[in-house]
Amino acid sequence: MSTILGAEIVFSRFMPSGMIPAALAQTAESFIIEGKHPGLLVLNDRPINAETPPHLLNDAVTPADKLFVRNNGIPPTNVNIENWTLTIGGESVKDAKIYTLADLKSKFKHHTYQLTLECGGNGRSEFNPPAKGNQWTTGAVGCPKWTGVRLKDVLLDCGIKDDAIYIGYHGADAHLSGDPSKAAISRGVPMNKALEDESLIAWAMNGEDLPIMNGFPLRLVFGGWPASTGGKWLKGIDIRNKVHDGTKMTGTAYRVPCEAVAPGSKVANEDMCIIENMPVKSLITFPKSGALHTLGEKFAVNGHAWAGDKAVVGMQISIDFGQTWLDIPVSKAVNRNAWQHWQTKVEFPKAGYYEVWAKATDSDGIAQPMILPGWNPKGYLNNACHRIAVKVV
Amino acid sequence: MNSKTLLQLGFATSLAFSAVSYAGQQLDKDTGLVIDDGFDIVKANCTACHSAALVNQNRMSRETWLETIRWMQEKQGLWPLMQNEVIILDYLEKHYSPTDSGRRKNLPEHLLPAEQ
Repeated sequence: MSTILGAEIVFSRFMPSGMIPAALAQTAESFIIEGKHPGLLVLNDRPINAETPPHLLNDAVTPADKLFVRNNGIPPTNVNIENWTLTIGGESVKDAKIYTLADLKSKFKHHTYQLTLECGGNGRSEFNPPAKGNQWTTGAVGCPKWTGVRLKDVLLDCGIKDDAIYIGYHGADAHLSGDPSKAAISRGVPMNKALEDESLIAWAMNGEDLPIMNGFPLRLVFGGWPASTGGKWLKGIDIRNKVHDGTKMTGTAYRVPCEAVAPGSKVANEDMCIIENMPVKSLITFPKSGALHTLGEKFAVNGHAWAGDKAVVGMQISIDFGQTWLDIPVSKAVNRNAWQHWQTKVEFPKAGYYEVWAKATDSDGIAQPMILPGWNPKGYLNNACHRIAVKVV
Repeated sequence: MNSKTLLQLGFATSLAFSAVSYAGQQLDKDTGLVIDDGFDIVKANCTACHSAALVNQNRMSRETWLETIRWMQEKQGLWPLMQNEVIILDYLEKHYSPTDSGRRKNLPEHLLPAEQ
């Protein structure tokens, strides 16, 4: 069907097989996201949310066109970078300031880091009872190279009062309802994360302007934390004397139960805790699931692994549904909060259906679960082992 | 746009939609939603602000769909649904309820090796 239409079928996981989505067939262009690879799977077109199939994430550094899109509202259009400003304010700033993009680029030292960005809801589709929201599978993750200035350099330029505990961002994206008094999203991080070397106010991805859908012309990037903490189309940062209370910071948004609960439990808002660093996880990016392989030949497989603010220290794969595991080497990260790489070759003992499972272990000795991690009402933090299907003939 | 206009829009849509058949169900070609009692009301009320994909990729109990409607009314500007609310809930409960599954499903068909 893709061949006929000349484009990857969007919404294909929600379409019955054999059905040609008429809207797409007639207006294929309208489903192509500007600046993005046509192989991304669009989960939602209003707001735009699209994930990257694992086999398109094989690059060591994620190309801009293959980084997922998770929008909460409507991105700004006709951005004029000459007029773009960033306002640093909040009750705990000593000296509120407004910077133009040119100010940021000229006043502060530039830094480039490769940082892993992952949606807190990546993997949501596997939870049962189902959690509402975009039903991400594995592809709301990527690790491009980001260039900008350190958030801490800018915050320190304005001065931070002693009572500061959090920062909160404000972006130029519009609320879906069109109500200008509402923010689509406004989240943040505690000061200790904000002041880390790798916390950036970025204007470039892989040496080029940010893609429109990933925050052009300016955004925050906090590697290893839910990507929602990294505000896109960044217009303001407030230094707060309390936990930031912007849109999608309160209630159950981007929170999980503070204590483990049984699947389907009702959890009171006060028993939900804000997600901070993301759990250890890995992805098989080569080959594509559904591979056919010839018995007797070695089967090459590779991918990435990451662990929030920690490092991945162990990597294993299994070809027998987790009954036995093969230890394989994993590369060192190019910098803190960047994903790491692994590759190996395996031999299959006989013909048949196999699944290759990948399992990473972090520097605290915590490994990925083979089934789902603890259920939570909003379907966050599914770091169950990724697996691909292989038929050996 | 008031709810009466939307209702009229809904009826107009019901005359114009085209469908495909799948597993005994008629699906609307534009939205992928099941065509059954209440479809036109759902399409008119539920896709004014967001994509139909946000309905058809989700599975919720009647209670949770209602909670979601209340949340949209409180936070997102959804209008009162009046007599349509029960029609919408009946429709969503019938076609978009949770389905039983184990602690981890088999890999979906599109990720499996092609038949030899």
